[in-house]
Amino acid sequence: MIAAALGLELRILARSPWRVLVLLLVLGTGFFATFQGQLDVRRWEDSVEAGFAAQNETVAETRELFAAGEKGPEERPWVDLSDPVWQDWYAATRLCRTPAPLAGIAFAAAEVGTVAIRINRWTDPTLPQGARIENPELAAAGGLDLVTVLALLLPLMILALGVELGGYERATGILPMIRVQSGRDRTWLTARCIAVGVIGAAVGLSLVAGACALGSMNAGSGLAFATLVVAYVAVWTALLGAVALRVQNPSQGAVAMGAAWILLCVLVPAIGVERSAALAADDFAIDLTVEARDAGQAYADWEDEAVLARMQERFSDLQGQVPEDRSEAADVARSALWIVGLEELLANRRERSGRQSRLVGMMSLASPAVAFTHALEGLAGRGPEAARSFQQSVVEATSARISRYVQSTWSSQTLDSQDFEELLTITPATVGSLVRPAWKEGGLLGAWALLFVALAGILSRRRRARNLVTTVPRLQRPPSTQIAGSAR
Amino acid sequence: MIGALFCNEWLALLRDGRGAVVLVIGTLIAVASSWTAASTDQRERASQAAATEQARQAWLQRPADNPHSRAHYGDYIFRPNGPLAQLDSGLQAVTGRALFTEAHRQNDSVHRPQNAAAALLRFDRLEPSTVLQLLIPLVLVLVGFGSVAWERESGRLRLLWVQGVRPLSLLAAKSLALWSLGMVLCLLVVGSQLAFADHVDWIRTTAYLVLHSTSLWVIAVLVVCVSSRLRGLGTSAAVLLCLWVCGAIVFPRLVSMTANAVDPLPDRDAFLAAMREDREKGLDGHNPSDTRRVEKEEQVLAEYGVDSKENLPINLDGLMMQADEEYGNKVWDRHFGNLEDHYLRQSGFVGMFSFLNPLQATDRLSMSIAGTDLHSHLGFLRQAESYRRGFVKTLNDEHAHGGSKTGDWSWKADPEFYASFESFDYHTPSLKDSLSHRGWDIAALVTWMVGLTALLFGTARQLGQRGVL
Repeated sequence: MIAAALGLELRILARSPWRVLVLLLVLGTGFFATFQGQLDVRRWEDSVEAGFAAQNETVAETRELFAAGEKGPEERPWVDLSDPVWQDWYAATRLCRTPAPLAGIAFAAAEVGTVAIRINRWTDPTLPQGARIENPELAAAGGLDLVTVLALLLPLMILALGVELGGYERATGILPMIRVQSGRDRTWLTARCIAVGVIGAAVGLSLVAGACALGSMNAGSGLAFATLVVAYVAVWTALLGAVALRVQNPSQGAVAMGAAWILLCVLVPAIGVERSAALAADDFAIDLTVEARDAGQAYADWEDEAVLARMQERFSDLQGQVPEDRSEAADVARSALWIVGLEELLANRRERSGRQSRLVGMMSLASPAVAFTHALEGLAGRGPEAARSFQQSVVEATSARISRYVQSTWSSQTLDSQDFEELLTITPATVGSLVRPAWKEGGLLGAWALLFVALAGILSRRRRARNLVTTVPRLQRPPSTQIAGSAR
Repeated sequence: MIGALFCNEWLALLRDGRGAVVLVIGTLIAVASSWTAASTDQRERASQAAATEQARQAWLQRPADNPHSRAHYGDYIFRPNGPLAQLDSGLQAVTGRALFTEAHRQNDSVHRPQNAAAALLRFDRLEPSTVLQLLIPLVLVLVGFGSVAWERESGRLRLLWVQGVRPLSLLAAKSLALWSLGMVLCLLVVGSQLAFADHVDWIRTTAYLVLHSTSLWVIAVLVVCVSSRLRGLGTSAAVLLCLWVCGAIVFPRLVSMTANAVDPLPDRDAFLAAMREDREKGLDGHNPSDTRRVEKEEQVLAEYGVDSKENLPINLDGLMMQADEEYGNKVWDRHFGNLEDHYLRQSGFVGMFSFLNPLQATDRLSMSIAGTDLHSHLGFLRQAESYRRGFVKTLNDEHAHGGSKTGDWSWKADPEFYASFESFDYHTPSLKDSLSHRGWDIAALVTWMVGLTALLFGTARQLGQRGVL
């Protein structure tokens, strides 16, 4: 019966150019989003390349200066490369984040910061250092990535293709006729819903295939992506089935499916957005602005010994290395202690982000759309968790530079090219994007699909019980009266 | 006739359960969106006031210090919400809330509220504008796609003709019924918003209502026309859903991406490098080798009739730094001015597409009415920069004329001097100013309204000529 229903759905589709338009719209938008995703990944890779090129240029210039025995560039007489301050500046290493294989599918994910950052003892990962300047009016429109297309448009496509299911057949009297002829009207409706689901899955998988072809994903991530898409389509197909078994006419079906879409794709996620924003209720970033500035200034008022103790508490490798001139050593430490404050601030922010991540996990229970997008962002290695992981790497690299700077300054040694080369090796060149497996969300989508199937089953039983009461007496009338009666 | 048909539409809507679903969902969304938007707005206004006060107290409680140290200590400005932000927060989510004003540089605003939503960013916030511009049109599509198509398929249209109903009356009644359903939901949203609000700007709220009633009329007429002109219920649903998806989800994103592709903004590094290069060409208050500095020094010495800096009755450093600021201001004006022009050019490009998408025209006008659009943001940045310049000039003047001598960086100004600084005060642009930039969007929406009303007449005439078929 499913094959017959699929054949019917395909014939309906072939006869209606407007329905084909729906399919083409989703496919076209999806392929466009995939292409844009690849452009975004290319821009990302260009930023990384540009970062490394700038690094290599400065490093090569510095090596030439060392080779020529110069203290610094001729036009900058105040530069002295044997001084830790200037070695730190000229060792212009970049820390870069490399894109995950599926990075292109979720380029509209929320991410703060950059993908390539210059590391020295002043690097502040909280400042906006993204490669692009954004026009707020264009940024507010949001990005159209493949995740958005799949999460929002696939359900609407299923709605558009299945809008008449159940309601039209019931309102025009076709369903009682099927019931009389085969006694399996419920099976027929189920088969038609599955046929719509198969078309939806075919569209989704075509987009997955397109993303796989354009991207550089491995078999594992591609398979996980495809499985999630099929599971998501199954959720909406099951919901369509439940609606089709209940509604009396197509308008009711459309309103019911539309209401479900609004509830699951807009209302529930929006509650999550509000709750997430409420977790940062007073976020005028006072901690990163006024308080951070005043905390940095406060070290100027600290006693020398307190400053030195704080420095050695944070950087244990500096213990026992304080020079005799403790006042001068404390001045150096004062200029470096800002990183301690920043680490504490970021630890607090990480805690808040952890709460937000737990919230997203909870919202995934309440909406398949949230579960689906969260799973895909995790697979793509994008989103705030991945950005936060990179930010942590930047802080660690900056701390290492600070430790090295203080060590060199306290030892009062004159630095040479060997020290410069060692300094370059302190900072790792690249950090991979944090890719999160999607088993949990995949399981959730499966649970959602089963829930809707169970709902459809319950509704179907109810209707069958009602049909036994209402249809059997009608069967006693002549067939023409029966169909006309149903139509009414 | 129209009145009877209109009542009949409402009865049909309420009778088959659709109306109940729509009204329950609509009420739920209206109350939820108004409650969340109002509470968010109140919370943000309180937080903004607290942050401003904290920055003020930090400024006042700082020990007396050198004016130039204080210029580097700087001041933080926290952007207040727009006058109707509780109805449409507009661009506030994607623009920074905090702006650091200091000597030597014009900073960009940082810490966008959008980041607070973290992983759920791709979903819209549930605020009245989202409900009015996205969800209510979808509800109208779902309720109205079969308004004429179903009458035709069920044979009732034939019955109506027989009974003497005129096509125009029928279509007008159906359009009015759909529009009134939208308006009921719209009034629920705005009404519950007014119930939660502390202060109501009636002029802006009225403009907001007029805008959305126009927009809903456009949607209602479009739905009825498509339902009349297309054969088949499924086809009508497919086309209207396609139009909604395009207008609400695809087009706005596509147009913004196209604007970025056609007229891309400069790379941040390139922008900063160009500004730095222009800046370095000029005076640098800390760089004694600068030739401009030498010229300026000579000019000041000649002005005071002395032969060395030590003999000056004022502190030359303050004058030099102010001269450097003034040169820097020219550099910022040029680069940030170009960037602003670029933003406006991109915005103008996007505005042209309002003739293709009435939802976009509504969105842009709604933001302008709410005082949360691009022009308001740029106005805020301009006012903040003006404040920064005044702030730094006052400090430099004190450094020069406050009583210290050239080279004396340890001199400290009185605490009263610092207490005399006034905090930044943002002046919201008037509604007239806000709307004066939106000529194309107003024209687009009016064109849509007139065009679709004309189409309704045309559709009625066609329906009358072609009969039921």
